[in-house]
Amino acid sequence: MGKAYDKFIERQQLLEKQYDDAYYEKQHNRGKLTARERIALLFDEGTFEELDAFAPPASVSFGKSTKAFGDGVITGYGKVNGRQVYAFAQDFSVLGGSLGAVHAAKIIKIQDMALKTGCPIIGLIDSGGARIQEGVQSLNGYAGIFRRNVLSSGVIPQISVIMGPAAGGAVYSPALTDFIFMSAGTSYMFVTGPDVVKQVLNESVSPEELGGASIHSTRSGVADFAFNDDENTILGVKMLLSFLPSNNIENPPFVASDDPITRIEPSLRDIVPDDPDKPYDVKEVIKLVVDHGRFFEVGENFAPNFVTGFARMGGQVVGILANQPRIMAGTLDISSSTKGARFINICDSFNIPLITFEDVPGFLPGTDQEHNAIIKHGAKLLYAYTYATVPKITVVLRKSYGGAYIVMNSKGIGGDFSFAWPTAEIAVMGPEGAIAVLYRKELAEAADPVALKKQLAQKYREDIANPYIAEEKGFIDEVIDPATTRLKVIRALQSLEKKSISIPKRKHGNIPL
Amino acid sequence: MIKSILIVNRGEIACRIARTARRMGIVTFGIRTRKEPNAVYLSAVDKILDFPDTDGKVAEFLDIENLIALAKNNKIEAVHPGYGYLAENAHFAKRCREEGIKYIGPAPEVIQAMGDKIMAKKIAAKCKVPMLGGSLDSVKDVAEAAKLAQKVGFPVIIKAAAGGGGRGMRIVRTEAELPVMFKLATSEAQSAFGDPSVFIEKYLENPKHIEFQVVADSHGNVVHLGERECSVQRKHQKLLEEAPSPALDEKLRAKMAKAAVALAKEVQYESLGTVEFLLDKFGNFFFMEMNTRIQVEHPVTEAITGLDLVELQIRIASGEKLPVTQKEVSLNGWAIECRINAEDVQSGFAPSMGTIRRMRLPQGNNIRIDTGIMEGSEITPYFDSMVAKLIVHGKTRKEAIESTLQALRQFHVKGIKTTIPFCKAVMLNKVYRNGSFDTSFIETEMDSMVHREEKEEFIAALLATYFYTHETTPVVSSESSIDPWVLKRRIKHL
Amino acid sequence: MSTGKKLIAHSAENNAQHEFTFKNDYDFYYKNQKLKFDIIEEADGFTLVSIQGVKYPVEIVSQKQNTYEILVNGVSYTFSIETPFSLKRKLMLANNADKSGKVKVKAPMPGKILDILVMTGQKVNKGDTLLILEAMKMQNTIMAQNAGIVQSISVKANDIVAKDDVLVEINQE
Repeated sequence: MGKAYDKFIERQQLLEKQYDDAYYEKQHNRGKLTARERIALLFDEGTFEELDAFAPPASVSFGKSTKAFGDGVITGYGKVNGRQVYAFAQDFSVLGGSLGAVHAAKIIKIQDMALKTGCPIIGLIDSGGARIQEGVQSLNGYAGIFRRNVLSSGVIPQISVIMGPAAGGAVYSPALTDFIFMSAGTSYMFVTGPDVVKQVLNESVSPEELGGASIHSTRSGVADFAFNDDENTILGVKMLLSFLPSNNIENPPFVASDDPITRIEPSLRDIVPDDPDKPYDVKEVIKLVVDHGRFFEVGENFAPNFVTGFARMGGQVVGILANQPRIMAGTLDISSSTKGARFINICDSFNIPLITFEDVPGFLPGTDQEHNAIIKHGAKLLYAYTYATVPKITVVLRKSYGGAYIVMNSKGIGGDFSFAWPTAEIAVMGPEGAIAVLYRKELAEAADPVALKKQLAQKYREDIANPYIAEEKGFIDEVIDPATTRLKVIRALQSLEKKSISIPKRKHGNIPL
Repeated sequence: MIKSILIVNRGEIACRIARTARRMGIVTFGIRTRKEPNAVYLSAVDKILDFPDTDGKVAEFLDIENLIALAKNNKIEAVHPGYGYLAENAHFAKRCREEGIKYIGPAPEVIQAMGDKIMAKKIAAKCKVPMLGGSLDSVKDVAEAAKLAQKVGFPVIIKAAAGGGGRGMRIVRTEAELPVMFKLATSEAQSAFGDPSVFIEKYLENPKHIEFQVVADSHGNVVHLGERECSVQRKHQKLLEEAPSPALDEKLRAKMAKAAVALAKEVQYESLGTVEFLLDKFGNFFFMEMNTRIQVEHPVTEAITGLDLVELQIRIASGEKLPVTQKEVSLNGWAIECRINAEDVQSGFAPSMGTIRRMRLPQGNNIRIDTGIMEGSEITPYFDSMVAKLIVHGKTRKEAIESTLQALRQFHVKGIKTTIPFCKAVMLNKVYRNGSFDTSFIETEMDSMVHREEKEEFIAALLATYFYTHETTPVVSSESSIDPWVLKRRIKHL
Repeated sequence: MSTGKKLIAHSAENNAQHEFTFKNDYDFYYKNQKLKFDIIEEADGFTLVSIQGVKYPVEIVSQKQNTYEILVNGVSYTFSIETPFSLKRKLMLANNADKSGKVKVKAPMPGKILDILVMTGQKVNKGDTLLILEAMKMQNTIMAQNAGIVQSISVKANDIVAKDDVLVEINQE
């Protein structure tokens, strides 16, 4: 082959020169890893195949420089923990990771490949944004990416990992994907950056305050995960992937566990306090019931009054939702309704059964909630639960009043199994409210209203707000011994393995948006 | 002999009182509250009485009338107040007497007299018990305070007459600060105790805190049971006590004991009492106050005298004579008590709340553990944070220290943080071991509040790394079969 | 085979660093020596680490991502597990970061202050309970979002507060 082969080798060497020490140092000094290192961390050793490594930028004025192979993005495929995955990593060190026509075309190519082969696609975002010099070609590049995000939505898992700036139009691609990870301290997401904010509104704000990992994982809820640094973020991505199937036809990966299905946990009987006003941590319940106590929480710091996350039960991946009585008494509000609805939608897309642990006194009252459309957002959660066709199991731990009872996957809206603990209280409203309404006259006339109220509340709890009435009428399938929760849920889950139902065909429903 | 006792207290002291009373064949009654319906002390008593429903404005164990009613309605002969709560409340003792209920403690008038700090000083002066210079009465105004301070010499301390616990107290080091401090102390005393009266006393820098246990019967016999060394304190809270004190020789002990007994005799004291003194670096001692109840740290005295102090209290209240004369009291060996509290020592002794998941207690003939909690008990913000008292006895002080260290090493609690590592640090401290410590010990002689061992730090690092590698490794499998029936329908529904 | 992964346990309290190498999914090496240790779960619920013939009772108090608080013999040690790169980055960010600033802890909903569990000047860690707010007839724990020293407490027990009222101010460390 001689000369042809030599030329091939020469070209390879030119590419290597682009990734010299300065390349690594610059990025490290910013506290970030380079795109190459991130790819190496993500994929199993030696399994990554890069595509289009030599693609030069579209704009001629840059083409002369030899340091622009790849046009600022590394794309390709490989194995992550043994499973085929496509990924792209924007390279901040090459042309600032800015998106030009070729950069976009490379991403679009693997988006198409991922969709064609039914594989998950992971995007590591670290970009200065659209390349101004390329003008409308850059914008069109983004449009192509967004289009494919939508076409693949719910077909293959799409994960965005923000590991640097993601500003302007560039944030919409992650927003269209299923999960967003952010690397704390070095990543930002905003539609309009601090400079423009200063110009237009005269408001001084740092990138971190405007759209850093902390803001998006606690206040806006845009980011589902925020990890301390690049390494931990990528470990988190791999962890998440282990719970998802490769596409919407496959089942999520089943891992036979050595945690016995028949494991009884007597401590579950003591977690819910006798005093119905006392809080407890529902995550303790979850950890005792799932395989090996391993619970991977999604959106931990956003709407902490509602807990969502993945776990395995009896080896099967399940999506867990729970009210958190420790925070805001576990009430449902706008944030928690949207958080829950989104999580349900993702699980439903990817054949992941839903297990719900319920202890909710109702929706949060107040003008703040009402004027911001809690009606619509609460309805979102209700819609999502009703629409989902995956197996749905509910365990009522304590309170379950009124609208919240219905919304949290009651049998009436299509829940497959509903269990209740002996501490469950299922009623139209709590004792205090109910007594005030039903016995208004008697209380007004009573000599000792406090004592009468206590007495009536006790009677209410005995006669109405207990799980046995619901059990007798079939709305609760069984009141169970809390210690056997794991066993009961897994058996129910196993019976639902081949669940398959259809809903009337239509272009798409109208979830209240 | 008293036949029935209502214990108007909770936690470890209720268990302690019940233990002795039961041994003596007395029927014990305990009170169950809503706040802890499953408390351990309830299983130590013979009968449980439920505290009635109230609006909760007054805490259960401070609710005099309801407690008296419980005793009366159940025809209980006597009441034991324990320590804290109503234990030094003269009004409660008076009410008991009025209702014909025997109060296991001194007479209400004595409680009243000794509870009033100024009155107590006057009585001490009468017995010629050494005291710190200062006012013998409450100070009328700043001018009088200034005059007294000049006479006695700075630094002085302004103290509230009606109460203690550090409130209404201000140390004044220079004449210039006196007016401001005076104003602060009086207003604090007013808001804390409803009485702005204060008095002035010479302030001793870093004294030792030594207290003497006295016991007296209703026949005029008064005996002292030796001293307790309580200088290991943090913000006026005792953390560790021992008996006897390494600072006292026979001569000094005799002098101080004589003063304590004289005081008790002067007020015709009955039952158990503790006379507190401050000891300066030159062997001079000064009367501080008298506590008219059983104290938390009483077990160290029991360890070296072999006497059961609760039994003495009950016998005295039943009208019996003291079973020992002064000559028959002997102090044998050395005892150390560690208060194990649910506190996070490394975060400034902040309360460590949570549930005690597991406890492993040290065992041994010379080890005694007084506790009111057990596995599964919850540490809540409603009650104090004491988990247990560890009392260890040895033939010598050195032996007691080594045995205490050994016992602490075997004491493990899972679920909350405790002061065990702090107590270990004290046991290993050079100044503590040579006995020359004073009340400034914790602030000045301890570099680190816990005993840290390099090996332990390494174990923690290793464990953290181990857990990290396990937690961040996802489980994977390549199993991916789907039932064909499901697959077909799934595709159809898409 | 694999050269093993270098992990450094870093303590923010005293800047102690212990470097371990993790090989073959199983073995830990320290200063080039393979470590032999066992983690034993005793029947009475205690966990012990047995190394070089000595047993140490241990307990994990908390775990936040890669930071662990572990009790060994009752003494608390906090370590975060870093790779050489992430440690370098962490130290660099700590130097550059704007660390000063008071954090205002606000009431998340209207209610009544039941209990205040901290004092001015007290050191708190992230996640520590600051006060208990009664709202919707339930007790809510208000926790510290950052480690620091309590600068001021603006409420007292039995106060009624509205949403977003400032309850406690913490001086971040």
